Amino acid sequence: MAKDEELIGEVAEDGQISISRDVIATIAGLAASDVAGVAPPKGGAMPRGDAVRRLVDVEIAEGHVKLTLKVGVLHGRAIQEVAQALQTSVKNEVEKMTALPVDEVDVEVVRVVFPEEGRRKERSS
Amino acid sequence: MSGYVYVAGALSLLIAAGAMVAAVVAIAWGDLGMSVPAPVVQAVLVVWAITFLGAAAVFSRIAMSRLTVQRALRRQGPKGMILITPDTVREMAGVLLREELGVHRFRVHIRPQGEGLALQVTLRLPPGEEVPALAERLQSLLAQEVSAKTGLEVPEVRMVVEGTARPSRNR
Repeated sequence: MAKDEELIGEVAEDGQISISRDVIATIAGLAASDVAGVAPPKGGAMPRGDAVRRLVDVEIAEGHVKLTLKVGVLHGRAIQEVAQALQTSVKNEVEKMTALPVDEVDVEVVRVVFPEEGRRKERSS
Repeated sequence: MSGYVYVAGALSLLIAAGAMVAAVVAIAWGDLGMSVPAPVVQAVLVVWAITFLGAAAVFSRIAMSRLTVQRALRRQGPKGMILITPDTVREMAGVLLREELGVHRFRVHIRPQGEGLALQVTLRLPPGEEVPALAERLQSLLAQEVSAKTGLEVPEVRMVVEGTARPSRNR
């Protein structure tokens, strides 16, 4: 098993199932991007596909997952509520898809993002 | 910048100051055959060492302030920790000051107080504004909005007027 993979279940006859940190990060990132009010820390539009991994740091110890997300929050939204919704959504999604218990979802809100900032960046790219 | 960057800066400055003091002692103990007179070199090194020590003290103070504020902005919940960075709070206060109060020249300083945060806004008074009225609006708006948006208590909002602003052409 590769170092960045975690065994999530073992069936002696059928073989073993392992899951990589990148997969967990992608699941968490996609769940985060669906939460209303969450924005990428550098502004602009939420990254799509595998790029959402950049928002998430994954730690796995003895089959338990700890996630750290660095995000921005859209201007006008209550930061505390967005962060709590983010924790719930990410924890549920990762536990549902991987069957790994998520002990902690730490959220670091690094800035307030303005909606027009995203539209400007999209127009310029 | 994170408080840890300032800690690293303070340590580097202390090491540099220590190296200069060591050089002064080495020059005093032995004839190093320098073309410049030894006392001149020693005097320059001592001045540099004192400057570096002063800068290290400033960096340490900034580091301590940033780290304590960061601790105050951290809340442990049932599902994990939520950290709102000081820059986020400053940015939020800045938007309120600009959009709601029409204040454009200001600095926001944050420090921990009890379980919450104390804010200090140093500003230039916009034309036509009266200090008591502005202070009242600013204090209630910042305390309410920052508290509602972050979930942190804001027991104190201090306003310091450092001058008057000229009428802005933009607004």
